[in-house]
Amino acid sequence: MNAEVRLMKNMLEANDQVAANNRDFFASQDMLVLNLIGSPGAGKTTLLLATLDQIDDYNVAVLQGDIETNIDAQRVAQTGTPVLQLNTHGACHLDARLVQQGFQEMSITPDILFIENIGNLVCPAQFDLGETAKVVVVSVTEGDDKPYKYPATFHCAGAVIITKLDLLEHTDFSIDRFLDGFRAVNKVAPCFPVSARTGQGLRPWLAWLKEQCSKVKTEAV
Amino acid sequence: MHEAALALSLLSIVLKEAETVGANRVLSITVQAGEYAAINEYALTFAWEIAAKGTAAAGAQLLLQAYPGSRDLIIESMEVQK
Repeated sequence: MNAEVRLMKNMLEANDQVAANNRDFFASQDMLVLNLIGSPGAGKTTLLLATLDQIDDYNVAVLQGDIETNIDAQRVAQTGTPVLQLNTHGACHLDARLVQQGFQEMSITPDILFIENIGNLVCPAQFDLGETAKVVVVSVTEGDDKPYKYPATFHCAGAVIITKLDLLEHTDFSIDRFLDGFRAVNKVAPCFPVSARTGQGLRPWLAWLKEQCSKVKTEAV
Repeated sequence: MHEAALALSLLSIVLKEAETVGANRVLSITVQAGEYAAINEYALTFAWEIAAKGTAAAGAQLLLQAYPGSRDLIIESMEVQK
């Protein structure tokens, strides 16, 4: 006998359950947790280093995701910021359990936790880590068509950072064309064009970061 | 790119539910795939066929229904043989 069984179950429930636990824990500790997502070479780590340099007054920690090596964790460690490398050994995204285990291993509760995801503009968007917000990082050298080509990732962004602004004049990147594509899938998230190298445009991004930090603390009351 | 992980997650949910309702075989599964779920139907079907081999869900057909504006992946229902 054949029968239809109605399920209405979230296919990612195993990951999302751990992510929900992570989110509850982070909220209980008044932590701002940002999940940095971008292609390999978009400048996520360089942006992170430039940011760490400007937020001395906060306790910050970093979970550094890469398929292999601890090259990026070493770069972050040089700033004196607590950092733990997460290697996925082939997997194209971090998942909630890796973040949970990594964070427990660090045994600190910072004001801000940056999670640098695997360099990939597709898969990380699908796996909730329990972060406060996803920050999508895209460089001018990648082209202004990225929101058109990867709508899912830009759709779920809490903020977008356009990096390598100092190279803008050497590319065909149009910020207007980028924003048109971005706004088609995301009406609310702010977009910050920056150069981590020269410091250009960093101020609005840092202001947003601090605003999010205060918001997390206020909401906890 | 992460369809293999999704196929395994789908399999574990489907097998558990099949056991709960006392099904011998799963014949088909309907999934609501959000527009922003970043899912490639071909890759998911390919991964699913391999993942389900040797289980009660072997050969079960995956039916993907597109859902605009969503990033959710919902297992809507399955057809089973009892």
